[in-house]
Amino acid sequence: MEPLKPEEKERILNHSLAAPEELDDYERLLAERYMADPDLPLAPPEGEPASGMSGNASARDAAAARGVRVRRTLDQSQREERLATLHKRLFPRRPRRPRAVAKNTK
Amino acid sequence: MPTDIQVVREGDTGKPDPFTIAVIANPALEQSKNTGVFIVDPITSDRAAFDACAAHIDASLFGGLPGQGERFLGDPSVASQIRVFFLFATGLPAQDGNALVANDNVSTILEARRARFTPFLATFGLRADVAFAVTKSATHNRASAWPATDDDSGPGDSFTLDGVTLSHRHRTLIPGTSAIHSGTRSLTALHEFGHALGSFSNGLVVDLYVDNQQTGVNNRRGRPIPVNFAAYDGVTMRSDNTRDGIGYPANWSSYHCELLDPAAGARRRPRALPSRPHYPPVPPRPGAC
Repeated sequence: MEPLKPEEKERILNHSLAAPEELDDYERLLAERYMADPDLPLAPPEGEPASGMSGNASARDAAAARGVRVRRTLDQSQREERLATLHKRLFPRRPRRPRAVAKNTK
Repeated sequence: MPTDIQVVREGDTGKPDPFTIAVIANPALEQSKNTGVFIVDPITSDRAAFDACAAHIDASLFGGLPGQGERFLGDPSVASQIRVFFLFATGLPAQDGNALVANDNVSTILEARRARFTPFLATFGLRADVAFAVTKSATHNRASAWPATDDDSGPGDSFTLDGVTLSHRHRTLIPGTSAIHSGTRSLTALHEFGHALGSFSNGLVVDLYVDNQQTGVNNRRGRPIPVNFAAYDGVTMRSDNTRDGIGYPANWSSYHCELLDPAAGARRRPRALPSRPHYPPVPPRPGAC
């Protein structure tokens, strides 16, 4: 993915409560999102046959041998949760201005 | 439904199906990922912006930008074999099947809706091995790319990587895809193409500007950094001990492969590519015929 420019990183950190390490973590997690096949069927429970893309079973084994994750569900959801948390810290909403209270003119 | 298909590079005309790159004006934009809310992409009303971006993408892939040191697909051994076309269609409804791009919900990243590309192109009688969707999103502007999902049940050209046999497949189930903003320039398209040229089962090309927890063909983890990075088809490639002169952050475990031309790395600014002329060359997947 396209990296943040240094000036963009500086602007983000200047306008958030997050630490630089959290921005690094955010960028790393975003990059890792694109390293897992989002359209790979779920790995089945033990004893059950795999569904879909069966022709890729040997390739998945080879990928696993290289340390590439092939099981996605929990890892993906945990990563997206962490990204959502970091996003809130890095891009906080501006606090709402208090609404003006109408004066009782009677 | 006005449609303009411009073939800018014919590719290997001796093959019925050469390696093909598509650059597509995104018809519909999912306003936020996985919401099912679609709008007509503003790019469909700005032909000039699309043309400029598409031309820039083509130039960057083939080493044609002013002062570009990275020749990549412009290498004479492959340049003439690759087909490139631009697709600009207007009047398409803002619906799921026409939405090739989504705005991410936790960043300003533009995300390719990768499974939509092949059926979308098929409606025009077209196909691609790697496809870019150009958008003019008003809120998001960071490009991203998905590697291909290879058809591992089909033919391919085998290679070995650290003794593991993999394959440059001739066909994909889902092509490599990228979403890119029409205003994007520099070498971003080439960077994203590097990702899209990889595949989940036969070699990922990963970002090198983060300390990736996972490995790819261009990234390993561990300290101390070994002299040898990996062996591709029995040829040993060395590690880049200095990360092209900028050094690895002290808390990193990732390390990268040596540049094919270290002198070129020293001259080049900025470092936009995930892996520049590093090993492996990751050649384009050849056409089937």
